[in-house]
Amino acid sequence: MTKHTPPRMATWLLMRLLDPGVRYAGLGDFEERYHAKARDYGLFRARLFYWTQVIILFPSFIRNLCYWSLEMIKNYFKVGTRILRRHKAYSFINISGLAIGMASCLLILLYIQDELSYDRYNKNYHRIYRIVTLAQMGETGVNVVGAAPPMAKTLVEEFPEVEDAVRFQDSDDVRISFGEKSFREKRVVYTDPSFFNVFTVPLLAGEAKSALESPRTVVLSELTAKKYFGSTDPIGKILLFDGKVDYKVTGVFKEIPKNSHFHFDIMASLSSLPASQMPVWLNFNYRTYLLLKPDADPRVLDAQFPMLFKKYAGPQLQKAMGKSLEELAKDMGMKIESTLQPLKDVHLYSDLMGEFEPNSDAKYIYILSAIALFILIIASINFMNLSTARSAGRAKEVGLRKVLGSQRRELVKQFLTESLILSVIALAFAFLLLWLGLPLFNSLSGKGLVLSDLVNGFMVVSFIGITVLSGLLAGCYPAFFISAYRPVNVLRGRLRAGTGTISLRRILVVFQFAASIILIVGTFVVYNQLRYIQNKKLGYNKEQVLILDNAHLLRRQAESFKNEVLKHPRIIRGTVSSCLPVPSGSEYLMVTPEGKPLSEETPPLAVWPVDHDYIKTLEIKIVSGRDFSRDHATDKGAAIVNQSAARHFGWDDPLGKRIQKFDTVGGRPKVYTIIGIMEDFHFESLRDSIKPLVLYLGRSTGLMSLRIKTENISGTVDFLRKKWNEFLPGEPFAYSFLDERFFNTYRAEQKIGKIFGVFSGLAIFISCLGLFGLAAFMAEKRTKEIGIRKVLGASVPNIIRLMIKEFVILVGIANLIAWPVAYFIMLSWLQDFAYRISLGFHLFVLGGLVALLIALTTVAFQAIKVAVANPIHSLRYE
Amino acid sequence: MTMKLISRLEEIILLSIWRLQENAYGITILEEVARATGKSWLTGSIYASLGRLLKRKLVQSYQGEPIPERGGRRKVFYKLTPEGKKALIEVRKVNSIIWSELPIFELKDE
Repeated sequence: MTKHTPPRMATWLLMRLLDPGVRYAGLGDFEERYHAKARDYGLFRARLFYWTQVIILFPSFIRNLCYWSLEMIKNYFKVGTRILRRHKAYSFINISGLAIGMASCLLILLYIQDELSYDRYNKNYHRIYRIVTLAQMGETGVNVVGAAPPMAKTLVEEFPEVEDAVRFQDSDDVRISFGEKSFREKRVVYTDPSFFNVFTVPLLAGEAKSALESPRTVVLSELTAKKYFGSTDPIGKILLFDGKVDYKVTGVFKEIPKNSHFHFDIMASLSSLPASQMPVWLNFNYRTYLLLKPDADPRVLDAQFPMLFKKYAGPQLQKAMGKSLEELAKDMGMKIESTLQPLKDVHLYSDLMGEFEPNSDAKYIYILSAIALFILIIASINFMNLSTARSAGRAKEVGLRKVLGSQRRELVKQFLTESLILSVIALAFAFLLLWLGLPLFNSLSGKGLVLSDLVNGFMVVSFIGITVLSGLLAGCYPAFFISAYRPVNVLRGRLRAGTGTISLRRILVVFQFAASIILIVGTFVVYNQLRYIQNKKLGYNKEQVLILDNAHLLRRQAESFKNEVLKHPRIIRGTVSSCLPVPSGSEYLMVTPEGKPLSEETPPLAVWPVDHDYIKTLEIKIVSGRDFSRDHATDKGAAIVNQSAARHFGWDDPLGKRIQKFDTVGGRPKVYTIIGIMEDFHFESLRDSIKPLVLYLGRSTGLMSLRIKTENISGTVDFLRKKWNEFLPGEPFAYSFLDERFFNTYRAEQKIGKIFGVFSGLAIFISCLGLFGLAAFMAEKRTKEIGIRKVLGASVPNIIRLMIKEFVILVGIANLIAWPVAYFIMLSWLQDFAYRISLGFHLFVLGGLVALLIALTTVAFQAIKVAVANPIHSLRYE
Repeated sequence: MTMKLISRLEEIILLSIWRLQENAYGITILEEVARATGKSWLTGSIYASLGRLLKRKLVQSYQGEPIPERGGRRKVFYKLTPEGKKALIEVRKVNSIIWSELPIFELKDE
């Protein structure tokens, strides 16, 4: 007798496959045949036979299984849709709440997807890095996106890890003309031909290798090419830059995608700028991007930078300052360090000096994800609440089903199917809402999101996930709770309406409102902070200042233009300077008290060249000394500093003291006498505290600022345009207002404030939908009780109070939970601002009151309806 | 009387059980079915039908002695119940009726 048994796995499978009624017989027969085969043909053939016999059973088994479970699912479906149809109001509340929740979730997902997709259009994005250079003197230092001009070439030549490198150099606005057509171009950059090798920006016309090789060549974006040349071939055409220099068009590139951290319309060859070819290692003005070899480690390169500085910058420093790199590091704490920053981190994690465009912040992604989750949970809680509340109504059904032989598992499936049907319907409505709401959201967030972005693997998985998750989340409690009812108790009527579920329902309502209150308080704080910033006493008058953008075109005529327009009665004062207390030109230079050499403690200070009328025009207050004056010929060597600078130099009375300004490292300093002290004003973002500032008389013609009168501003603008065209026929006239520029600085916060507002409004709305349903249900359950109370003499207010009391207590508890959470969240958000509001108690109380008020309104509607009803109707309903 | 119409395979299985009398269990039934139809059947193919016949009480099962070749399990024998016999007679009656009332018809393989 053979001792071996048939394959255990196959036997186990067979167990599952055979009907319970014939399982025992079947297993025996299979094994008997197995042994017969083993005897006649050997063990291997027997095993093979056994396995095939088992596996071939599979298809018919599955067909059977599917058939029967499909029948059941069909039945679940039928019952589910019947119930949804019978309770229309309840279904509506559930579906609309879930739909809004899902739409918000999808919207936020779209937003996050877009944020995460930045720069991923580059085929080699994971291999692209850019050089960030830390230039430090003593305590203060700046991180700049940039490197010395020869760095790119040197790296490619000396390090095999570097496959290619490309540099960028900014250009001011350029006026470009072709024949009759002339436009002012803002998005112009100078770059190397390797641009097309490092970044995946395809050329539609022209040779990628040679397009930007020679000086005075330029490539245009598709749209720009169309703007200048229409449908004619742009290749080989000549464009005139600023009326002086000819550039030959050598290519047309496909528009740079929206989700890129830079956008250019025009790229000119960097070889056009002679400075780019100089072997100068002491400036870091060239943004340098590297394409590393596939397996290269950026840290290896990071470690090489000190050696490079020593080798190349060292001798030049020695020559310029008479000291070696080591000596400078020791004496003055000078430090120059470069690191590589991965391209994929640029959009969300980088906020350095010399960014192409303001980047986003990963923080907002976290905030929005949290909000999305909040809203979805709130919507799911609605469902749970309403289903459990209605459980008593379903209890009889469950009892009956159980008596008729339903298994608990089948009941669970029944309830889950119902909630899944709901969530699928909700998903359909969510798409509709999304389609309607997307344009609004786009204008709010400044994004260009489209619905078709939803069609990709990640999104499909996530919205199927959201649907199933919210369906299961919402359905699991009723499914497991209601299906556990004992039929005996239910059918004898022992189970009273919603007993035992009340406390859970309360907890859920509290949680829901706590989440809503956190969002409301958050919105209040963001709005208050923004209002605070906008109304803060800035130390200058930002109202009624018109800025002419292209004043540098006036060149030597700037002064005469200014004098000409000042004759107009509505233009009060004017000043010419590139530096304004909003993002504009600003210079940082080393400044020390006279005689004191540069040392470790010398940080670069903001030093602004202005004209005689600057302080008067911006209405900056002089606290001591005097303003610049044309009557004093010596003012050419005069400076006005702010109080912060006076403190910085350590002088109690700086008037008459002299300071020296180093225009170049190692050069001879210029000396200025301090003639006045300004009150500290916010010349940089309110996110930072006020730093030292030095004003001196100098030419800086980028912008002209004019203080104008309030009345007839459009007339004033027309007048300026007319004068401008007299002075500079054909040059574009562009203007803005100082306060407008000021507000633009806080656009990120404003955006987030609005988004916060919208989503917290939605969250509240969904919570109230649920509350409304709950209140309606409670009112229905208590119809009889209220009828009796009324008969016995209860007044309408009495009954309303009775109905409302519970909800008020719940919202009250929700407040107590929400306040500390909101406090800590908002406190950490405010840390970003140097000047911030204090988190007053009133904000929290106000947020709580708003939530309470909305909840009360919702519940009161039901309460009043019940309270004023004629008791005859409520008592006769049996 | 309601007719107990059964499927072709069920009919063959019932007839096999009748023919095998005392020795009707899974494998012998399978061999009988294979012999009658002239092709080999899968080991598992008769259990669904056997299960149905059991449920409809057309056959009943009883157990034999435990046998080592069956992993110590007992053989499960089947025999017809009176209803099973009745069903077979029914089928035969139906067959003979529908076969007999045919128009002129050459029984020939074509």
